[in-house]
Amino acid sequence: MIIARFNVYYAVFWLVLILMTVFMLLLIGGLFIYGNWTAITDICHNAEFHFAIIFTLWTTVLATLLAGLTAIPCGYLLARYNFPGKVLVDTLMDVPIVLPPLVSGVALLILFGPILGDSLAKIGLDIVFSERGVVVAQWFIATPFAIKTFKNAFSSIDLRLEKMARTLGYPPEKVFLRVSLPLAKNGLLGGLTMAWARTLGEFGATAMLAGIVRMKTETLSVAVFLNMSIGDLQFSLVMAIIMLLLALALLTILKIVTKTEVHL
Amino acid sequence: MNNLLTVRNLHVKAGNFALQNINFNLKHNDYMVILGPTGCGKTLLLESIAGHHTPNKGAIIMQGKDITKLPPEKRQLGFAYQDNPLYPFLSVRENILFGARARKLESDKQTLRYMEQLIETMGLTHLLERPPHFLSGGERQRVSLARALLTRPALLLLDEPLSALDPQTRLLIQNLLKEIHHKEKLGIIHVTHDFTEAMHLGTQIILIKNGQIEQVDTPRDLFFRPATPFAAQFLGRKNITSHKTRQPTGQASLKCHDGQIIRSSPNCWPVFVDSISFNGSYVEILCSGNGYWKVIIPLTKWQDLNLARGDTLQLSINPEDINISSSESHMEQPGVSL
Repeated sequence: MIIARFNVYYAVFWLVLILMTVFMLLLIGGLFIYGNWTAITDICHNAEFHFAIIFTLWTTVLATLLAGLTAIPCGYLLARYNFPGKVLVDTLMDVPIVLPPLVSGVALLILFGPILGDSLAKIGLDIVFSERGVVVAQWFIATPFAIKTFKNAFSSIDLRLEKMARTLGYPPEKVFLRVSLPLAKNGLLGGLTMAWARTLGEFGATAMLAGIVRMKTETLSVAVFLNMSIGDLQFSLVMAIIMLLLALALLTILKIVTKTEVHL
Repeated sequence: MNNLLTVRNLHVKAGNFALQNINFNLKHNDYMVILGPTGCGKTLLLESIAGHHTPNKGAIIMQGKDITKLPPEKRQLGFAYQDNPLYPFLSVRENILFGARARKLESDKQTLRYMEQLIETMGLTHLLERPPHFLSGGERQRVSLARALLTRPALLLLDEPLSALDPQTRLLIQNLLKEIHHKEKLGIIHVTHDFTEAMHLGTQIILIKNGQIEQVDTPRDLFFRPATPFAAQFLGRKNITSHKTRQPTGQASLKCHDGQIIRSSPNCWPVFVDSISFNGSYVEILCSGNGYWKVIIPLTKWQDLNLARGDTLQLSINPEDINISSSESHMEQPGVSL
């Protein structure tokens, strides 16, 4: 632990950190204080609440797994190889991070609607205004985060360990499974946690591609929006508290998994 | 067929750097040291032999078989890198068995017996269940060697295996390498930039400069008869001067050993003592006069000389110790007719 001597610069830094911490605590505490605890117990038995929780869980888990499966090859290749147009490909992967989710949703709607909609419908894969659309939107928003983290995880591997495995008799695919994946494990788990956190909070792209339909495409975020729009503040508050608890749990797991130095 | 490995006219390009026209033979039981300064292409050459770089030209032949296009996993070589990276997610025992597992030999009785032998030779018995991050540099080196040897390679490739070790551990591992080489009767190619390490271990030395072979020789011949000014400089010679020769006419470089310049003998010339430094068992004297000269005096003889900075000395060189080669590098010395 570093104990800094009193210094005006450090004092300002500490002041900003303390103010920021107080602000975050007030923000979180406000939700709990303002919430009506009787209403919370009632809402816990509400069918819409159950639907939103279960729907959010399965869509986010599925979208995160798909993001992971997409990000492994993309992250590995971007970390390991130099090829013509790599900068462009790398930038394209970042597009969903910089685009507002609503704009991403519009782009997805156009791609899976007018452009690919009919072809996909013929093979029974309706994406627009369906549960699949929710997964696609969440996957699209989460994948770039996973690719970025996975790429960093693969880049940080000592290449000599992979080369040595080849010399010891492992073909490239086994080197990937036996050496690269275990070595990148922490980074990959961190990336998946980030991706899952991102899918949990997804609203804009989901709203555009899958629509805001009660008990059909109703994730926790959508449920907060729907109930706020009809003035049911208590329902929205419960949803917000649950999302907040999930986010806190996820971030804590992320820090433990990625071994970020945090003193409790 | 006497050669374990033949490297013929090898050219390998890696980014802006290239190995060019590499030719050498490695006999069975040879301990070959690839010597050269940092960035001269030693590791690239070793990794090319291991199959991690595709040559642009040339051939690598092992035990009579062309392995130039063979993937690394089919070359049956052992490899140990600088800093001895171990798999952090495996224990010491699992690290040693890692190569055997790839060849499905982890349950083979002979392999397990050999592993026990190696563990004993390397003194690793008490470390087997430990994770690698609890090991010291020397312990990591021994695990790395055991892992490379367990698959019984015909050729062991070592990339600066001693560079990260303290002097005592380095000496221990050097002796261990000699013992392994003698006991296992396998060919070894050892990359280093340390010339004393090369002299201590090698039966053959390849000196590399800027991706090209400068000299291939036995340690003794390389030391006593460096072929080029670069070779002499790399071996620590300070007494290298450029001169004109009468027969054949042209420019040549003269090299002589540090300790072979003596005081007061026939055919001597005057020099001034520029600096005196004590280096343990010997004293190093730098002199100037018709060039710059380094004189090494054993500490036992130092007292009799009674020398001080600024003194004048008479120096001479034993003609047998003069080594002349054509001068291909610029020497900042006045031309002297020999």
